[in-house]
Amino acid sequence: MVGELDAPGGAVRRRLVAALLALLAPAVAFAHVGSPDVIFEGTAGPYPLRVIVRTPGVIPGLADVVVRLLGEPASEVALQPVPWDAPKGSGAPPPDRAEPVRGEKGLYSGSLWLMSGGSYAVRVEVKGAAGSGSVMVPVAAVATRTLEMTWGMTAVLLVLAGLLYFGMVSIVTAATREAVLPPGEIPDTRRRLYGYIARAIALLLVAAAYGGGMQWWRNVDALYQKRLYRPIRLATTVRTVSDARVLRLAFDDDEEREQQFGALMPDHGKLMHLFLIREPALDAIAHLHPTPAGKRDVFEAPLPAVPAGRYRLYADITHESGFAQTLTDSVVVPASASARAGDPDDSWHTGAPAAEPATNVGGGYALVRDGAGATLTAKTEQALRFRLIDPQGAMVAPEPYMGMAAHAVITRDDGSVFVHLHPSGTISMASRMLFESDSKGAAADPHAGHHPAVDPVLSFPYEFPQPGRYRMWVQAKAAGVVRTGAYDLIVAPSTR
Amino acid sequence: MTTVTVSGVEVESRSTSTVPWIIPLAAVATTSIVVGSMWDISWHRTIGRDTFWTPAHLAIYLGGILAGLSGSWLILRATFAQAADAAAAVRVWGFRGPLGAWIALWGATAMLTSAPFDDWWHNAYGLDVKILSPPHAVLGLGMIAIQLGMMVLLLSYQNRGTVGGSRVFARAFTYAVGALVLMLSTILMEEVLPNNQHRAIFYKTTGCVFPLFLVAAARASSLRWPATGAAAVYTAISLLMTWILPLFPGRPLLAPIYIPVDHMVPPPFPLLLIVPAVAIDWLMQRVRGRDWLLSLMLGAAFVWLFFVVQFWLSEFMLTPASEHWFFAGRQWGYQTRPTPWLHKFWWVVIDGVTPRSLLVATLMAAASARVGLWWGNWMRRVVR
Repeated sequence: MVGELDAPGGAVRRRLVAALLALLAPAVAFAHVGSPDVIFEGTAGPYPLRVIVRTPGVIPGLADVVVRLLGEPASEVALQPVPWDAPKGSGAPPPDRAEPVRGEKGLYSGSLWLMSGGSYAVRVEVKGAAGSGSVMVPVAAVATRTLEMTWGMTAVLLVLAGLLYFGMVSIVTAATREAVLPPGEIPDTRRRLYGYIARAIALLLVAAAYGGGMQWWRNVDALYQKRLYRPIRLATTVRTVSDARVLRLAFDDDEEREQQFGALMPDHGKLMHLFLIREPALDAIAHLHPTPAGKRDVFEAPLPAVPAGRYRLYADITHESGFAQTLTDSVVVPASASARAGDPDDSWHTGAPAAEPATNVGGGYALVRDGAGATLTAKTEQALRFRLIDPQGAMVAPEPYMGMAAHAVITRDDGSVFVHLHPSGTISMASRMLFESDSKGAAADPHAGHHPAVDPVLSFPYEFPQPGRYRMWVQAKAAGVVRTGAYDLIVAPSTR
Repeated sequence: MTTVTVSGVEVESRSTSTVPWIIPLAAVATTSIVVGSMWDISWHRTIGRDTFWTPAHLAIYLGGILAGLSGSWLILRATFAQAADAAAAVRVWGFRGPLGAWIALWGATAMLTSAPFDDWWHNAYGLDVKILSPPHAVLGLGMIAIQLGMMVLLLSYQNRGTVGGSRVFARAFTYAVGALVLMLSTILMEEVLPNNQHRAIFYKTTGCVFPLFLVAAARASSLRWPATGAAAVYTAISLLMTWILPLFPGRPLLAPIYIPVDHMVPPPFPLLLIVPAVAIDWLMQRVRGRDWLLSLMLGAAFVWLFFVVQFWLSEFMLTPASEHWFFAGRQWGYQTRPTPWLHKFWWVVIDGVTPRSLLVATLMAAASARVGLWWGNWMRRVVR
């Protein structure tokens, strides 16, 4: 009944949300939504470090890379772009030195050209007294941005275009009127008439040339818009099977895309990591792992005991090229009396955030956020730190959950930002494994290079892309149960 | 005004004595622009990454600055200083100056316009990987205008010169035409690669572009073999670039690198334009007063002679034997995927050369030659 009453408004809202997501998606949605910068925290050999890659938004374009050493000092930090499909060994240029940032110890910056669209890694090489080490940070290189021309630039170009237009017409007129006259002779009426005729023809022809140029520009722009990165479209439905709800996701992956990015490959052993977030209150979240449903590009997952309502969907997938992307949709979930078991690693949580700092996550455990009172600022690199406290009040290391110490999800209240984070940052571990094994010539440990799972402090490196109200969920496993804490974060505008 | 009473001879004697600097300046400006462009393309095929200050860019700026400043100087001098210069000038927006100076100044302005446009273009659509884009077209038009301006300027001195002086200017004019032909073939580099030389469109494109300039130059010049001379200049500069550039080491600084080049990648071996150019001069020396018939003969001579030599040369250029310092065949930039496709003729199934397509190319070349004759007739009379 509630569902029926809710339906008309819900449908409108759902369309609005879908429209909002569709609007946002082309601009920002590859491997996360609205959060295009890549953040990695881990180790390069003996050097703990944090790497931030700010993608250019156009391809070919220049990515800015910031490396912060978190431990040992280094004598040299070098950066190298490694495209997925380049010949192994010789396909990458020599590394570029990252320059130390004055006034900040251990901070280095550099920039790298990303020349072709698709999957890249930034190889960070650190040398120093402790030896040398390197790490691969996967980056999705895609065109996501449409640049509007500023008024100033429009004015400059219009003035110059006008100068060239009237200059050309006047030169043609003068050439016709007097270029062949003996020096000193004044053009007679006939020659002046020729000049006028030439002027009329030139006005038209040069205008036609300008028109042709504009059409060429429009064609280039249309092709660019067509090739702008867009995540694969999802069509999501919920059906009820024997009183249990089953989520079905169909996506229209085409052959061209598959050729560019490759087929799907598992990340943390799963082909898809799906997050459902109930709106508008953001009071329920499910982290599911749909599996292929027999048909190509159709995935299914039984729904756990989450309340009915409208949910935002974010599906993280990784392709064989290492290209990771987040597909988005929204769906209305009906009420149900029972739930079917899905993937053993599925987890879900309902309820609003508790008052910090003591966030009870069940079984007597608490997930406490460090620095809960501190101000968070947008566009500023930071580590969101949590401690898992056992029923006796002692800090304990969580048990690995899908190979990681913890998982976190951050979303802005309007849905314009979504990110799936680990202590190793925003990257897909499967992509990292791919690049590391390519570079080392053997199957690499997917979790090499990031902090070990036994680290008792759960630290999530992140940079909020914009100010606003955010909700964060942190998931860690203790006593065999995945425990989820919810937090409200207020992010202030950047002062930079 | 006193200038209207100045006779042509008087103006000439002053002009040639006071403006000899225009010859080396025109040579440096035109050479600098075309050499800079070829160097820049090689840079992008070898190293990839560049800055505002690469030597190739500096060479292009030098050409633009020389042309812009000398054009402005000639205009200001004719407008404000010398009555004799004012007499041999055309009037634009209240100023007076030689027509060539105006064209060169327009070219420099176009080059200047392309700078912010190109910068914005790279920010909006990414760094371009093709030679032809709208801002590059503006830059290319600017560079061509500078070369045309220098041509017309030299021609105006030739046309009103004494016998000895005019010959120097005629030779300089021939050089400028050669540099312009090289500029055009550089802009068309992707279209005229050996892999495209079995396509009909190749003979249509070259038939449209080159007869126009070679025939116009031949008609306007007072020399006996101007088209041959221009084609020789084109061939010589192009060969020098083909031979000198690979002597310099260079390696890619951008990924992905599909071909790990270790020296500057040379431009393709020059087109054998010299063969039809000899025929153009030969025909123009013999067929006089019948320009329509002459155009048809020029068109046919250009396409068929060019076809015979270029078609077979391209066969050779795709073989490993062409990988030699002299021919510099099968040289590709680092960003080219090394597939067998690189050693094949492209699109021959849908656009291969046929007798019919050569006939169409002949008609296009004849039309190009006819326009060239009209243009040449006009240029012969340009004295300002």
